[in-house]
Amino acid sequence: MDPVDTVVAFETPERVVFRHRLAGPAPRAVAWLVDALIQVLLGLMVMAVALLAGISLGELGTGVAGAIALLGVFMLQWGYATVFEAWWRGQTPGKVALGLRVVRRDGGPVGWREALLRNLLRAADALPSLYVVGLVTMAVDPRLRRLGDLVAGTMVVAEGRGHLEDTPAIDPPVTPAERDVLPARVRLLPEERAVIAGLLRRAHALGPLRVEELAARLAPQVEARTGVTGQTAWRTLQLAWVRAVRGADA
Amino acid sequence: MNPEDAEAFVRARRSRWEALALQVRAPVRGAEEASELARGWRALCADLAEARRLDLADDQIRWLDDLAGRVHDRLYGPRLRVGTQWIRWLRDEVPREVRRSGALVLWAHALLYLPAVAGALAAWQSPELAEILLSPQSLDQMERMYATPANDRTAADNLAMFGFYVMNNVGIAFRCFATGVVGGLGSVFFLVYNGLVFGVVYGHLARVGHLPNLLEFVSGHGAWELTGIVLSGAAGLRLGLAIVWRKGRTLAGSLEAATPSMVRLVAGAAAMITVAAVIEGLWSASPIPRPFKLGFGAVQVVVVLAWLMGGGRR
Repeated sequence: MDPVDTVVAFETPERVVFRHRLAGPAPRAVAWLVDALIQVLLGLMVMAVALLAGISLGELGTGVAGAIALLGVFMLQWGYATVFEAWWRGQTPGKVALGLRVVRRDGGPVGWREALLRNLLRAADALPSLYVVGLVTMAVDPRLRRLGDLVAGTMVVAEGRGHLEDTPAIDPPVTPAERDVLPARVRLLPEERAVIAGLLRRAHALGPLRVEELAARLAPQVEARTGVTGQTAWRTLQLAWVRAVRGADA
Repeated sequence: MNPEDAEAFVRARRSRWEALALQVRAPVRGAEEASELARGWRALCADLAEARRLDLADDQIRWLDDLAGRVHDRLYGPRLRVGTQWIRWLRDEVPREVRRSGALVLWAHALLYLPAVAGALAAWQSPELAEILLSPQSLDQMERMYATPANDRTAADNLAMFGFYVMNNVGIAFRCFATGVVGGLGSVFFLVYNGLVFGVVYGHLARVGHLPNLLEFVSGHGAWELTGIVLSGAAGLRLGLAIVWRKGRTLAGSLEAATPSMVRLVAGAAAMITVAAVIEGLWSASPIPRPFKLGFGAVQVVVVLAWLMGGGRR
């Protein structure tokens, strides 16, 4: 039995492991909505083409118009997702917008076979309405797969949340007053360092109040062990981190 | 590990990684590009291992993971071919699969045709029995539709009807397959229900004497359409069986083993129903004399049988 986690690891033939993060129902529903809107727009374009053909072709016009409209709707309904996922390496426009991608169980990209199966099975996942079956299946499955994914051997992963920037320097820098009381050597546990680095990297997105709230949970433990004290919990963690990571020159 | 090493490491490698991220966006063309991408991939693998050892920040590792996933896709993924090989695939692989899944296909036939015979006999005996399944209004409508020979459709109507038949009938076949996911029950239901309905229509029209008109209309496309529905039902049964009867495999393993078979059957069904729609739209209601239509229908039965029984044999 796999552990319940949203991270799936793949081992390459080079014996290196890379990981994908599974996408949950919320971003997938939004991606589906984006795709549905695009399908409606494309459908309107098909109708416009059908109308133009109907007007310009005289006697056969209504027939050609009907054939174009009906075939177009059929292709959009059953073929849109299949063609995009097979062609765009597991992505529809909606999935591109949300940073989602369909990958095979072994981490490879989907081909025609997988794309066809998982999208035909939409007919079962969408039952009785609004993807209730698919949602229940996702809730039960440790890899958040709907029926179509189970049958096709695929899963949907989320990409594009990482970046390469350095961990920002603390702001403001260590003041002379703070430096006077800072211990010469501070040792942080690896987990503590990771948490503080994570906070530093995400501080601008979280906002000062939330950062302080989160910092308050870790600061007492760090303060007790290292003896570092700042004006706020967040400042305590920043000072401890700078001394532990940058050493004496911080 | 020393975080300063980690930062120095990222700074040293960053431009190389970003170049690789750009490169991997375009498809690989030619041996030179492939080996260049492979070099980039091997370097990235080493870097990824080093990044883990140096304990890079979570979102940095994540960026590298994403990149590794994309390069891995390009290098090891199947190359998507868009050409004419699918014609050969339909000609050879689909009939092979139909014969390999012979028992299942025969079962699907039985599930469609036995209820059809029962429905036909019942409706032939008494209108009351027919009305259990179809409302008097729809029976009336059928009667009026086939009161005269179906040979007065205009060319414009033909084209529009072709589009309608593709959308409606291929859609039915796809649903017949997809609902097989509940242990095959959905497919069984669709097969039996469709069989009953078309049997009742036949029996009812035979009783009121319109059968020749109906046969004139359906003879041309019937073999393709009905066999297409049967194949989609067989695919649904295969899907249901793979879930219920796993022969000691895990669920995923069982589905994986059944996948190629399902894809061939469903694709074959879609192709057959599209052929049926072309005939049904353009030929079946045209003013061609009845003997020609019936003869053409007989030829179609032979063509379908020859394809499914003989296609792909060496």
